[in-house]
Amino acid sequence: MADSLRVGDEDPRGLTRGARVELTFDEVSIEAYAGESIAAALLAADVRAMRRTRRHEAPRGLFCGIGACHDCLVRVDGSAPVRACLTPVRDGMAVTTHVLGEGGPS
Amino acid sequence: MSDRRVPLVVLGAGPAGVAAARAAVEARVAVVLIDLGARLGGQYHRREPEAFATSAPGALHHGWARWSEDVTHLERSPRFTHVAGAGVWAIQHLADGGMRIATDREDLPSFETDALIIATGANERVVPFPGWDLPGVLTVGGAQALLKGQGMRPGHAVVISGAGPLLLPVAAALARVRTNIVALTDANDPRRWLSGSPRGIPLSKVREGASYLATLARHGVRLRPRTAAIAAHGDGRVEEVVLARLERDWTPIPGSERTVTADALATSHGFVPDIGVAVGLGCLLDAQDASAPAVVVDRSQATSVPGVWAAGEVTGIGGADVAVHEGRVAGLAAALMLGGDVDEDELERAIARRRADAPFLRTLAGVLTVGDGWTSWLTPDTTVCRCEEVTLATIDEAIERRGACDLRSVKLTTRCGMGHCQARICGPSVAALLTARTGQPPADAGALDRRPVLHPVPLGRL
Ligand SMILES: Cc1cc2nc3c(=O)[nH]c(=O)nc-3n(C[C@H](O)[C@H](O)[C@H](O)COP(=O)(O)OP(=O)(O)OC[C@H]3O[C@@H](n4cnc5c(N)ncnc54)[C@H](O)[C@@H]3O)c2cc1C
Ligand code: FES
Repeated sequence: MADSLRVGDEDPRGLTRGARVELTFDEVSIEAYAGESIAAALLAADVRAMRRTRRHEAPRGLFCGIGACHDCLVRVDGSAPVRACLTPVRDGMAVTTHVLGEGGPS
Repeated sequence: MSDRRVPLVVLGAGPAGVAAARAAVEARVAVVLIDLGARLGGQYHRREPEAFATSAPGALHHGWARWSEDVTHLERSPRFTHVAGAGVWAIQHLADGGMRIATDREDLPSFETDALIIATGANERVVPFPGWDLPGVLTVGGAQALLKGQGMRPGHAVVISGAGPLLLPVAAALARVRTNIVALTDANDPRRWLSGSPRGIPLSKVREGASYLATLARHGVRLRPRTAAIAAHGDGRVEEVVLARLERDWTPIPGSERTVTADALATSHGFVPDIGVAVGLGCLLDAQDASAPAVVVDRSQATSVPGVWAAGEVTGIGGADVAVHEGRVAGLAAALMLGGDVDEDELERAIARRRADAPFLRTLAGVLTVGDGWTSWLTPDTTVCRCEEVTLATIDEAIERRGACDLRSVKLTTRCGMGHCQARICGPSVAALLTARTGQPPADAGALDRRPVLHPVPLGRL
């Protein structure tokens, strides 16, 4: 797909992704590849908002990309929130928007 | 689980930490290298995940040959242990002079160590502006991490805007993989250092800059100096970016605003040393720039705390080559103290090589400036602290009406810096706002980097 955010043959490293996996984000099915972070998989599926803030319920998404900002918090299979930019996808995982700052990591 | 005692822990597996670890194992000292990432590399040599395959892994990386030599050498050493995917969340001093290091890897014990080399690198500094909290706005390094780490572009129509030498390699790499770059702007005028005219910029860096510009030109991307993204708009995500031409001090020139359509904005304005670990251990800081305090080290990279060395960006921003030079000094110096097999002439040669970086570092400090005029990009309701949703108006009220005059009092009155990121993102802006509003830098620079818990940890570990 020419307009995909996933880089194809243009990647000078000659990249081959891992096996195809399937996950859901807020119950919508998303395709991804083993090795991808949840954040990358969501981005490729045109999902930009990953959590909502406590006070204004404002949408937030991938920002620092390296685990520093915590704006990419999501829940996985009902877990405590994890950073989508650091957490790899797994086949069958159910990812949901993290809302209202509840149950944050300590 | 019982603790494991080791002679030397290196924290951070970027260029500095890997150079330090290599120097120490060569001196026959056993090293445990701990890093958040799954693979060695830090920010500079960030790699694709192991589940991906590559035919030419170094093709997007500068200086790959030297790096892979270091890594191969290290990984073959029986004295080397790599603890991957482990965020260090606390380090304590022990009564016997050692330190205990706890990570968020639930399957591992804590480590006790005699000596520590801090090579935690830097975080990006991002100046706030209206809309910088919209999904679709990300940091320049974050865009680089997506590309190098995931083979992914940040958007379909991308604005790259900020300040400093990171913009060019990231823009060039994105252009090479055919990203649609709508605009590339630097708030300063990088043409002077790109031409190599200031003293101290090595020819290799001038050539590197020129090659990025050539790549960009081939893809029809032009770098606009003294221009910045001063606002982003959109319904729940970035749809438009406002670019403005700037005065030398980053004040927007009235009437120069132009709105472009984009679904991603990559932005950052420099780096701040990641000093959290060093602050926790009580290392002396250099806070000349209150927005970016750095760890003070002596000629052998020793900090003010016995048994603790520091190398790389955490001691001040210098880039990957300087980080390697410092890492080597720190590794040799720590090994010497631990009774390793170190030739003192070799240590002196390593120190001399690091010293030779001084003119470059002075020039770099002159290039990596953030103009005071950025404060005029904000409106009263612009978010400054993203985690706690603290606006400029709230911070101004704390400073001007409630008498907050240092970082701690702003934090306590506004909650700025109390959220998940623990001031990693807003800290430099709060320090700069205090300086602008009170006319002097806060006396407690680094206070927001004091974190009892460095990274959020699963509750079970506490
Ligand atoms: C997001 C980002 C992208 C960058 N991209 C480039 C680039 O493309 N080109 C360039 O020239 N420069 C880049 N830089 C600048 C970069 O900092 C230096 O060039 C170089 O990587 C510095 O080396 P270092 O060894 O000092 O630190 P780093 O390479 O930053 O390594 C520090 C390491 O310490 C780890 N760490 C820190 N704290 C902890 C902790 N508590 N627990 C566990 N691990 C920890 C980090 O995960 C990281 O791997 C980037 C910086 C950032 C922040
Ligand atoms: S994007 Fe900052 S922590 Fe994930």
